Amino acid sequence: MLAAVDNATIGASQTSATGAFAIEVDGLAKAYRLGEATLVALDDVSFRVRDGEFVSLVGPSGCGKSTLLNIVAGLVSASAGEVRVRGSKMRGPSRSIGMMFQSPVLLPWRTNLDNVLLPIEVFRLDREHYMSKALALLRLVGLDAFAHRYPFELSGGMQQRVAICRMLLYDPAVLLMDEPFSALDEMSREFLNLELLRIWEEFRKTVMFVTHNIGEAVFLADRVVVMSARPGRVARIVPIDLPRPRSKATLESDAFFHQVTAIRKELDELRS
Amino acid sequence: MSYEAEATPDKAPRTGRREAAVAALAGVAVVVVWEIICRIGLVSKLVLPAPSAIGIALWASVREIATGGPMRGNMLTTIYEILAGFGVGVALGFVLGVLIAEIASIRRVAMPYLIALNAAPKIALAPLLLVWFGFGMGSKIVMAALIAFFPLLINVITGLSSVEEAKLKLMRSLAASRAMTLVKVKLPDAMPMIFAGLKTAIVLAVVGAVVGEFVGAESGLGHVIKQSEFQLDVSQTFAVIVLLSIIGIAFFYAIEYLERRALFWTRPPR
Repeated sequence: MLAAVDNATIGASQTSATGAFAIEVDGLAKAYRLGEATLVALDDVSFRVRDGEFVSLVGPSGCGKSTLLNIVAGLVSASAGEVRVRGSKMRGPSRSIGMMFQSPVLLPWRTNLDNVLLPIEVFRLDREHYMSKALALLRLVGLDAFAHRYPFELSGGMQQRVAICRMLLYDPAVLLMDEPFSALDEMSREFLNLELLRIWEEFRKTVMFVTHNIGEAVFLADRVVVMSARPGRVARIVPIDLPRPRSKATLESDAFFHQVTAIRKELDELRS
Repeated sequence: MSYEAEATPDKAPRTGRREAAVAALAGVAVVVVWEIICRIGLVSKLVLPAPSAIGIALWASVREIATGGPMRGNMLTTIYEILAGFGVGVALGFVLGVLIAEIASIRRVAMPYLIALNAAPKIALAPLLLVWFGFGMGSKIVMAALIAFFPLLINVITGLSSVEEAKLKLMRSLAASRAMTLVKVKLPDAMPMIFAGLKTAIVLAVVGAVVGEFVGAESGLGHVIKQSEFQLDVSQTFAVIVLLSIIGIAFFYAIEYLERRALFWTRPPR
């Protein structure tokens, strides 16, 4: 379907599995010093994400799920334990990881195309070489007509689609998404969930997706990691056996409803 | 968020036009009252000349500028001093501002001195600068540079240190070097602040050049003001003040024009 995308894929070798697990989180802990007191944000968190697997993280606010994501991204250092991405220990930000944040974080003085190409400039790679791939990605999310326009001309949901393209451009093996659609209205969020799944079916990247929306977590993921708060721990890992490819019909199915209800109960029990 | 297009409420054009008319009318009224006060001899023309007298003096100055009389030389001297002082002050302010914002050790060493120097009344240095840099343009350029320097320095530091955390996080997630982050994100993000500093700096550079000329000069518009005061030609003084204002306004709007062109994203087109 997307010849241009495939042709320009440089790091294709990145996507081929070297081990069974793309992400290994081992005995991870994070403590912050607050004056005299110590705040334990994460306590002995361990789990593994298989290559090409889509994992959602849910939990009450303050359970450290964003902290966990930032540690996996190499943006925050752990107090104990370690994270291995594709077998190698994370010591800092890496090109094998693509990130998305709560806000699109597009640079307003750059066109949407130039925003997609930003990582290539940062990596000092050949812009021209990635141009066709950037355009193909914008076409994939239906924004090719806006390639030479500016972010302020787009809605919030469209801006997040540009951010998806920026994240995918350099073909990272692992995608880390930190509540990327939480600032959008319900309709846009649902649309972008479908878009994300469509793109994921095509590229089959390993995804860690943090959200506080249980429905979103279930709809997207192969497994949902349910976390408890203070200290942040893995309470349960729930496999989601909804058939793929998922669609709007999935959202209306009984199976979906049961999964969501089960996880909601789990979270309620954690709170009490 | 600055890049989120927000609906700017359309001001009714009729209201805007009415306000402009009121402003123009108020200005005309002030001038007329002023003229009347002078004509009926309420104020000595040595204290406050009539607008018509100022107009005549201004016209004479403009003609001299146009025909290459001594006023042209005086004006060019002052313009040169303003631009050179602005250029030097702004360049130093920018470079030092970037160094201070980016390198903590430089910040710690330089900041106390800069705060002290900024607090000192720099105008009071003018007589000293005259001794150091002579009666020529040098002392005026240094004066203009000295007071144009600080607004830019401060705005560069503020602009570079108030970049949105999310943008910096994005760059960190891409393992961007500090230089890369500075060039690709921080400097463009600081541009609105830097332009605001430039606009303050150009106006202050005019003040610096004229004050420098007051203290001692052989040519320049400040020099002309002092001469006309010795000759009790107050109309001429006013005429030169008007000329200086026009120069200041022209430079100010030149920078604002550049700002509009460069910072298109801060005013989303609707």
